[in-house]
Amino acid sequence: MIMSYYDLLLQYYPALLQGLWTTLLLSFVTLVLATPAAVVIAVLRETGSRYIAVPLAILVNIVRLLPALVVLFFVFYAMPQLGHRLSPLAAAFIGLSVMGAAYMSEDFRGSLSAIDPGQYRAAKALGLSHLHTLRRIIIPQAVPLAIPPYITRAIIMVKGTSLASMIAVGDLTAQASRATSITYQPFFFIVLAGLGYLAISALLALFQSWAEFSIARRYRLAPRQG
Amino acid sequence: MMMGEIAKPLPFPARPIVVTKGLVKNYGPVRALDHVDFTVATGEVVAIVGSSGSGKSSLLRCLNYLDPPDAGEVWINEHLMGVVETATGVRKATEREIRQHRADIGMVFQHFNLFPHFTVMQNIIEAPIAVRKVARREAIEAARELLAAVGLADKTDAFPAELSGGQQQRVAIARALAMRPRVMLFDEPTSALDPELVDEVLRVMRRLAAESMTMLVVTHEMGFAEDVADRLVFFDKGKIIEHGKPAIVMRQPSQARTQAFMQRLQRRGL
Repeated sequence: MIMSYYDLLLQYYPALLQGLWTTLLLSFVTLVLATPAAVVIAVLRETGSRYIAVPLAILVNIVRLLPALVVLFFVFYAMPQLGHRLSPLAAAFIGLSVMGAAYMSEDFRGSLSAIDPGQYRAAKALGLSHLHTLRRIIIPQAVPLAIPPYITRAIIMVKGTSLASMIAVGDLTAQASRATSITYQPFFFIVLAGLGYLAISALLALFQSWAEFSIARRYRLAPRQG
Repeated sequence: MMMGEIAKPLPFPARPIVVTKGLVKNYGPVRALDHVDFTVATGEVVAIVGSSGSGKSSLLRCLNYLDPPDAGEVWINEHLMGVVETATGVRKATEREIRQHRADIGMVFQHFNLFPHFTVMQNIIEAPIAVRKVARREAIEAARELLAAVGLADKTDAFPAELSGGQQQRVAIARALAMRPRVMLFDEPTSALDPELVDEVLRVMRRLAAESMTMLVVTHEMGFAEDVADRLVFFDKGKIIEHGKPAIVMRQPSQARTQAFMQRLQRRGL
């Protein structure tokens, strides 16, 4: 029996919506977990003591140099051997957040190191504490610089959630590929899945434009002179 | 009150407010300060001169412990920096304690280092509120007075990028004064300025000197040094090799290296 695209959609849209929802959830949770972790890692590596910075650098590099899929497999398949059994979704949350935080901390580190060291000196000479300096002087200046790489990283992470389909998470990719293998209609379902990712990523790109605009206005950042 | 109109006579001989003993600072293999003994009296203006790399900026950064010295003592206002007295003896000061003492020492940088995301007003009131625990309204009032004194009363809400270099440096001076420091350190305050902007900054500094603010000024402005400074200190290879009345050190230096330096400046028409 040959089904029209309309029939296919009618039959599979609940599963696809379910997948889209799971992908959204994965994206949201990994971004919410990875972002603050990345900020802390970046700040500690840039301005903290060597005894913290060096171990963090090693950790970040180990994670960053491994394929995301290997990390996911490790969390989902290897951890149970060590006595930590996780649901597929929880394993994906952990694996993807860890990967994301490692990459993202490097982006943030870049924007922190772009701040003139004179800013630290001036704040220190005024008697401001290190934490106060970070919170009020350094990070607010680093945020506008971090936005383009941050959103790029977030988009990469959203697309990276499709790897979760490899550890039995029923995300958009998993649902589309299941529907494909039942119906032999790869074109239709893969295009639909692609559109789903496009929509989420486009939202992030829109957010970037808005954030850049509103930050520029808030700080009234005049073009640099000289 | 700071920056008033009346010039007071210098209270010499006065109590020493800055004293260093055997100050040593190394940057890797380079010895920036080589056992510097140095005393500044309350209300004194000292011009610090020397070729680049001679240790003059390092001295300023050691005085406020921005770069703690490797050896030696820094006494500011009869307090030994980096050390705290306890009932049983002395111990190393914590970062927080050093911060409190550092706040007594104002510093002005060559590149101003204003906070670019803050308005002029925010730049000035941030530290008094955070460090001195001054009420916001009082901090704003004091900042307005200081801005008026440096001739920038109309720039309260401007951002640093909207100001000229000379204006930015005057804001930076006001920002340092807002902490009510006992000593002001100036690290080449006019070296990054266009020539026509130098005078407006020097004018503010002259006025401050006239009010008996203790000032240590690393500078290449020999005219300013001669007019305003009570003493000129010449640095070479991390040591003070000559010091005295500015006119005398400049015109009749006793050391060969000072002579060579002064002649170089003269050839450049400074």
